[in-house]
Amino acid sequence: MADPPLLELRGVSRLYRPRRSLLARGPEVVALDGVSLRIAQDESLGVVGESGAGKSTLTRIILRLERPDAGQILYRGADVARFGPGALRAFRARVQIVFQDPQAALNPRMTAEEIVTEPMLVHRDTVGLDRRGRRARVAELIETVGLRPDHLRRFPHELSGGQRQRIGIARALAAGPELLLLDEPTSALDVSAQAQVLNLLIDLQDRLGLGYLFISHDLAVVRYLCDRIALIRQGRLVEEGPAAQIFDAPRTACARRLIDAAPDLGAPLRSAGRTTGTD
Amino acid sequence: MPPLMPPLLEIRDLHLTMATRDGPAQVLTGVALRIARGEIWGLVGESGCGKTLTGLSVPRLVPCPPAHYPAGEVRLDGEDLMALSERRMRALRGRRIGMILQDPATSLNPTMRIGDQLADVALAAARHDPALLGPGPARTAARALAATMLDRVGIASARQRLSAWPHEFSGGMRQRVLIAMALIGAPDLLIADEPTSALDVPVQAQILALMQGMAADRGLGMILITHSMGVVARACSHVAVMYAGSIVETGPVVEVLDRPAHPYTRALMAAVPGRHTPRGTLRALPGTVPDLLAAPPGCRFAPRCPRATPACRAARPPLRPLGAGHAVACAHPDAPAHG
Repeated sequence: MADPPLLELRGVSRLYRPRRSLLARGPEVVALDGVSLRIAQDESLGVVGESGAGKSTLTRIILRLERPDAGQILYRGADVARFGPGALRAFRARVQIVFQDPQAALNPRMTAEEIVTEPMLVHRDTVGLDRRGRRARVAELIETVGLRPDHLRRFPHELSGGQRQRIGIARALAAGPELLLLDEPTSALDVSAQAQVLNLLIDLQDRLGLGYLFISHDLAVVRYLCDRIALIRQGRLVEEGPAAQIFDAPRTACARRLIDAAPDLGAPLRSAGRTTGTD
Repeated sequence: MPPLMPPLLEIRDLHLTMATRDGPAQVLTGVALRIARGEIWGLVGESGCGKTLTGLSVPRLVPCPPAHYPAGEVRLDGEDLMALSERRMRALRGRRIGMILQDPATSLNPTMRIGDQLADVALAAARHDPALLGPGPARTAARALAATMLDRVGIASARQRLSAWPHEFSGGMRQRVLIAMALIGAPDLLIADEPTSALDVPVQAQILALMQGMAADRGLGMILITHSMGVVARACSHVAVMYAGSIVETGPVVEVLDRPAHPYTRALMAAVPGRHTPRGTLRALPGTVPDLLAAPPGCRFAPRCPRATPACRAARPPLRPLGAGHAVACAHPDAPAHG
């Protein structure tokens, strides 16, 4: 048998029972319903779905911030639920997350250098660098994400949106991950910053051989970055396959609806329904 | 008597200076726009180009100080908005000028039910335009209108949701409530700042279709501030591309997107991944918008422009017509073939 995939989800379900009032709980809400996924090393899987589809629950479950009600999460073949404290710490250094809104995800009272250094302190036993080693690594990381050494002294508010997200990516790389969970990493950025960050992510993957779980509702962005796409709807995996196949020959109505609704610059001006305009 | 009907909105040579700790920043430098009824104008550009401040300047929502308008006019149906009293201006906001702000989280009152917030806007608008609610008890009619609007922005079981609180709604639903709120007073002009960027793709398509319908049926004029060229292509009739405080290219969407003349417009379009952009081939625009405290003389785009010549850095090119309503402010534009 071949090596196990970097990450595998087997029939993962998660239910919530929201509070209806102070005492009573409401009916169960199924956030994830028997989701199975695999991500190989060096591969990017795009997870696409509408809000409330369960995308964020998926990241929380993978990071073991929440436990699934059913199913298993395997990291390189090992069941994450059975990890002891040491194995869990090592796992968390290997699986890092980049958040949607870098403004909210970076501590405003810390400099970029402190932000990027922090994971190396948290994961000291996995990373194993002394103070000097950490400084060298931060300098290397800042260059890796395309910033200058003087950016390290800045606070988040002194950086542009694109620069802040680069710091968020440098922080995610600091602990030496194998898998990055990218939760809408470019949706808070303008088009030029988005293009820069997307190209950076591709470059990093090619250089470092990272696995990506890329969550987005922008299909063109997912198509640009990902090898495979998984569509989820109401907690259920609706369709999964190579990106080109999902786009060119979607099998489900849900996929077709998402693709048709996505604005595309490639074929805009032939579309009907324009209010005014000249020919 | 003016020979022509004035346009719905006319912005002429608008300059805005913002006082900052480090000195005055020239944030808008001669913005000009003419918007007729039924037109949807996309205002595009990177963050920090002045799109939001242009939008906020129309209903006069930019606090002065720190802002200061050294020159320019904003006219709604020919009436000079800059000269109106604050009281008159307040009567226009929400009724003739609808506004959707960028931050949905902070724009709803957390202590009022959704339906009451919507109905209040309808009642306030009906004081100026009784036809909005028709005959009968006003509050009942306002609530009915609130339910209709919620339904039209795609909120399921709208009538029951009137009694919901803002915290019970997701971010996307709250955004849709704000869109309903901006439209419930049947404004003549809607200024929408990134109204759909937080929404899912199908919902986004539905909202854009709703706005297009209101433009076509009721002559709603609209400024849609966005950084998505895809949204412009899908929803707008016209587009104005802003860079560092001024409009560098403008015209009907079909003209500008088919024949972009300004290098900046081209760069913005090339930065958007399409359905068939091969991995790793997206052309990101290098650099960032200039610091407006020390903006370069001449064309502000010159430092990032592949075609810039010494002449570009010396004098700022004016907006020149290219025909078919298309105009560009560039000394070396791509000459679009017309006719």
